[in-house]
Amino acid sequence: MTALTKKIRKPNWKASMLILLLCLLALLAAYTFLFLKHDADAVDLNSQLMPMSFDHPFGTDHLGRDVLTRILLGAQLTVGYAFMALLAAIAIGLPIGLIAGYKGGRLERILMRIADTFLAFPDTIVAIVLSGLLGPGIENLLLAIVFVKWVNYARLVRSTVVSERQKEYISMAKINGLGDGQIIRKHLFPHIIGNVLVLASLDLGKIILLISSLSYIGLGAQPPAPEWGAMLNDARPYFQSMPALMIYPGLAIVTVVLISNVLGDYLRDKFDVKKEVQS
Amino acid sequence: MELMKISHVDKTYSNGLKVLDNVSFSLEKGECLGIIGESGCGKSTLARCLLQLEPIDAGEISINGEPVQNLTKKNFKPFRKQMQAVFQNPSASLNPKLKIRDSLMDPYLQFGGQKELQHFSYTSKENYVGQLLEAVELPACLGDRYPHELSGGQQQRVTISRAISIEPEIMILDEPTSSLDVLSQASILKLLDNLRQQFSLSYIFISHDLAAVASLSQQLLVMKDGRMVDGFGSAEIFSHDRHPYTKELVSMF
Repeated sequence: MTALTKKIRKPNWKASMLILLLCLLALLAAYTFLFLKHDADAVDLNSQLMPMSFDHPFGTDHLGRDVLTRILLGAQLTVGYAFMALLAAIAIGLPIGLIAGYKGGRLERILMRIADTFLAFPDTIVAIVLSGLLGPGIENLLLAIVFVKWVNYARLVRSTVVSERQKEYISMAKINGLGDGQIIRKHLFPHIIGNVLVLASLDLGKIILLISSLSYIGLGAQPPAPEWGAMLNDARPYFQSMPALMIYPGLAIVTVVLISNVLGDYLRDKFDVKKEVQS
Repeated sequence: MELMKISHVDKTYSNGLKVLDNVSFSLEKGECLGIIGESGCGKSTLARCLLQLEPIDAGEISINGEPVQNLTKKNFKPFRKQMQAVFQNPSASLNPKLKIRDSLMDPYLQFGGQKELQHFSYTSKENYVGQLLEAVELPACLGDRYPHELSGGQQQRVTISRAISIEPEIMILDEPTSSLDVLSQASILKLLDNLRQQFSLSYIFISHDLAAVASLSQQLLVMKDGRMVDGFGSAEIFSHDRHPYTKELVSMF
C-alpha cells in the first residue's frame, strides 16, 4: 500500500510529457478548425518557395501551396491512415488469437503456423512487393501493413489467453456456470485489452513511419495528397535553397512517433497494476 | 439421505497414469466428508472430476440420485447451482483484473433468478455483495478492492462467500487452508464449520492436513495412489483396526 501511494506522488515524467504533447496536438487541431484559410492543394505559381510570412507561417512549397496547411491536413491523413491500418490489424488478429488460445488443440496449431508464415516476411519488403504487384497507392500500402501487422496481435492475444486459461479463476468461472463467451468477455478481455492497447500505441508510431517512408520513395500516398513522407520527397530538390520545406514534415513525423512511443510506455506502466505494486 | 454418490470411478491420464482407481463413496446431507491423502494421490483430480471440469473414464457420479457423468455442459448447468467449490490458492481463484464485487457476482448472475435464497436477499448489487462479505466476517467495503489488495486469508474468505452466494447444497473444498498461515487456517476452519451449520451445507473436504480434516469431518476417507484404502467415522481415527497407511498418517501427526 505504501509503495502504491509513493508511486502516485512521484512526479511521472512520462505522464507530464504525454499531457504536454497531447495539448500541443489539441492546439494544432483547434488551429486547423478555426484558422485554416488555404486550400492544401491550391497551386499558386506566383508565390512559389516563399519564406515565412504572416500569410504563410511555414512558407510555401515549390508549387506555391501553403506548407502549414499541408502539414496540418497531412496529420489527419497520416495519423488517420495509420489508425485505420491498426484497427484492421487488430480486428483480424484479435479474434484469431482468441480462438487459437481458447480452443487450443489442432486449430491452434494450424492458425499459429499460418501466423508464423506471415511473420517470416519483413514489413517493408512486403509493402514494396505488394505495391509493386497492385500498383502504388495508399490503399495498397495499408493493405500491406495490415497483412504484416495482424500477426503480432494474434500472437499476443493467443499467448495472453493461453497463460490465463489454465488459471483457477477460469475453472471457478466454469464451476459458476459461465459459458465460453461469458468467460472470454468478463474474465479474459480485461487481460487482453491492456496488452493490445500497449502494443497498438507502440505500433502506431511504427506504422506512421512505414507509411511516411514508403510515401517518400513514392509507393504510398500519391500527389497531391499532403502526406508527410511525400512532402519530404517533394522538398528534396530544394534542400539547398529551402531546407525548412524538409524540416517541417520531418519534425511532424518525429513528434507523432514520439507521442505514440511515450503513450505506449505510459499505458504499459498503467495497465500493469499488479507489477507496479509488487516492485 | 444421499446427496452425492460416487461409484467405481476410474480415471487414467493420457500418459497412462491411473489417477483414480475404483473410487466409491457417498455424501450424506449435512455432513462433512473428509478425504485425506498425500500429494499426488489423485485428490485434486477427484475434485475436478466431481465438479465436471474433467471427464471420468468409467463409473458413476450421481447428485440427488441422478447420474450426471454423461451430461453435456448445457445439461449439467442446472446442477452447478447445487455444487460449489473452494480451491487451494485463493489468489489464483480470483481474477486479478476484476474487483472483488464483480468476482462475487458470477454465480448470482448465472443462477440468481432460478433459486429462492433463504439467507441472502437481492435488492441491489451493492447490498447483496455486502451481505455476502458479512457472512464471511469481512467488511462490506472490500467489494471495491482488487484481489491483490487483500491478504491471503481475506481472499480465501471472499472465495468462500462466492461459493455460498447461491446457497448450494454441496461444497467441494480442495485444500482450502493449505496456502494460508496457521492463524488464518484456524479461523477459516472455524468459519467453514459455522457456515456448514448455518446454511445446512454438505462438505467434501479434501486435504493432506489430517488435523484440519479431522477437526471438521464426521466421516473420513483415506486415499492412496488413486484408491480409497480406508474409511471410518472421525471418532474411530485412533482405533486399532485402521489400515496401516492410516496409522502411518496418524503417527506423523
